[in-house]
Amino acid sequence: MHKRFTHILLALVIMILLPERAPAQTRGNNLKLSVDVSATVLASSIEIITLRSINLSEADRRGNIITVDPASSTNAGKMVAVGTPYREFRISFFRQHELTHANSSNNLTFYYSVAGYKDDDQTTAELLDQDNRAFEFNEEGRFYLWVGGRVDITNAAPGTYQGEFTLEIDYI
Amino acid sequence: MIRKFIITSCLVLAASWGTALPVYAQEIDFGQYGNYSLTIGELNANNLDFGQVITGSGIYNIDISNSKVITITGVKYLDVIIEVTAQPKLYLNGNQSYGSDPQKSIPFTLQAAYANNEGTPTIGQAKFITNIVNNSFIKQIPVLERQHLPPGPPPPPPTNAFEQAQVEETLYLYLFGMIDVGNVDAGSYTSDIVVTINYD
Repeated sequence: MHKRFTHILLALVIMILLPERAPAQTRGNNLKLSVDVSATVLASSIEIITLRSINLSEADRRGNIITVDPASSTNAGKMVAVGTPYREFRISFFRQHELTHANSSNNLTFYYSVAGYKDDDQTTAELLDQDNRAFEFNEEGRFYLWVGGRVDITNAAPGTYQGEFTLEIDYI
Repeated sequence: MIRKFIITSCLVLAASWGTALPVYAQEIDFGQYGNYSLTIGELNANNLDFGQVITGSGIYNIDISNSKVITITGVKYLDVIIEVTAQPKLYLNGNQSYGSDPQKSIPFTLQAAYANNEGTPTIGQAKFITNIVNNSFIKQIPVLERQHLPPGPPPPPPTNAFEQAQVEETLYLYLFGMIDVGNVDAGSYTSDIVVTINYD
């Protein structure tokens, strides 16, 4: 009994004097952990606002062809695209569209052309061609577009014709 | 000779235990004198992610039910001190030099809560931490909430016979919050929250 007691005490002393075992990475004391916080910001969606429709008038007629120059004519339609300032984007549109007579089934084929510039200045607007290169919104997140085109009215019946113009803008 | 040495050592140790313990008013920091360990983990692997947000769209919230949950396992009779520090903003590409650029940083407000009920902690039992200042706080929390009983005896100091696992409980720390998205540049925004845990 006495001998066993001696052995236990000896073991206790030896244990106390032994160096501590190093704790595992997430076990011990004074533990530290880092949590990431994140968000992915998307550019706002692009809005296109029609400011003015195309006006096909006699003033722009040469023979049976009515031409509205988007870079110079005051009869050109006008739109503004609104998005994230300085973001690049591409524009695409259907160059050919049918105009429908309001009171009959007669149609006219209209060939659209578009000019655009980052500021509200038609005289400096650039014609958009097939290259479809990248453009950039201005510091206010705006880009101005003028819409013109030409139509052959040789076989057109008198009356009002209507049609839609579709333009697509996407961030790059 | 050896018998005498052993007895003397035990008496010296017992004496030191009896006189060296600092006693504060109704509080004894047993954590300082025992080799008790803590284990921390993450209940959910994902970080605090607000996902895709639209520039200029204002407030986005992550509430407690979608929070980042930290698990803290320790001796149930002891308190832990939890220190949490979060950045005031999320930064474009994690670049903190954008902190003063309102177009490249997003204000972040940290919110937190903890649950230390018996058994598996639940959100329903969570207690919200209210004194968060500048996205930081230090909080002393019992590993196991008081059971409306007088405190039990302290656990024996670790010996060969001591198994901490038998007196352990787990408390949950919930981290969540909100961001205010102004007219910032599109891109990836990040920052971090640092959590430090000690026994009291």
